[in-house]
Amino acid sequence: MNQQELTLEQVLSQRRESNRGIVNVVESMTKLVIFELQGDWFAFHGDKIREILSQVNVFFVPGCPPSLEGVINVRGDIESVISLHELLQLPASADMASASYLLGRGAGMSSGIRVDEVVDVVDVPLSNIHKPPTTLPEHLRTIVSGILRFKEKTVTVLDLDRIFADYSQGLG
Amino acid sequence: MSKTSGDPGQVLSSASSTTLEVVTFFAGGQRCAMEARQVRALRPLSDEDGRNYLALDSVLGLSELNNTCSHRQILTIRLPESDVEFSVAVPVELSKLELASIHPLPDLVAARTRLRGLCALALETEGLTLMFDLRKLT
Repeated sequence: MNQQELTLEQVLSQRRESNRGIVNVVESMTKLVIFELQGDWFAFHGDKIREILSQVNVFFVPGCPPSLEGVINVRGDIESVISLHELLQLPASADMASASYLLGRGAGMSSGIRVDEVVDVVDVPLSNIHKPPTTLPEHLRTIVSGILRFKEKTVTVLDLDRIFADYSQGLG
Repeated sequence: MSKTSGDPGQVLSSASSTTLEVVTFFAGGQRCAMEARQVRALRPLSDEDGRNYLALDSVLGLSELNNTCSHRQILTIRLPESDVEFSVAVPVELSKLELASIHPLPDLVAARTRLRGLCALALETEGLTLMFDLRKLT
């Protein structure tokens, strides 16, 4: 017997290995639109954001709360624009010129949301999004749906359905 | 916004299919409008009756500006039960708004506005016009 020849045991072992089905572990992914407000990073789920706009003219509408900054013209239709700073208890942004506007849809409503800057639009594994900590401040508990780490920073994932529903009821 | 001259109380409801005839005015420094068919008449406000009329600005929830008799007129509004008169700052004009410029209130504006009777927004190159339905005041 040639010493290079395989033993029956080795042959069977190789056979078992090759017959073993390849198990693909496909992890569920979700798209996130990550944005910055006063240096903090937040995100909305991508399926809630229809469009990202920049350099739009905001028309002031009197008689609304300060966080409802006005309306914008989106290709012939108008959308409201809200700022999340007050809702998130962040100071107002000084630089309005570099702002971006997320066109969001939630709770059967739609509106623009002014953010300081759009950081990225990324696909992340759902498993990377963790439940919000119990130490979350009171004002964030109902509107934060998760937390993740991205580029060495903490990203707070916000629940747009809840934000729009609560906002229409007088929050912010 | 195209403008026509004349008394809005006399020239009403002749809007074509692409425009809506409205009466425009300024309240709280903001251009406002209402359907011309809701307006019965417009007449000057004299010094004698200056204090007897509610300012439309404050009725709508807008701050009252330019509230001197010489700069205001009396607008007679048709309401279901009876006509109502308000004072309003000049200029008050009969105009036509392009239908394409008129939009329903965005959801969050409708939910959060404190303005009474606000029912639509008209967005033109000149800017934003608040549109009111005074029948919703009652």
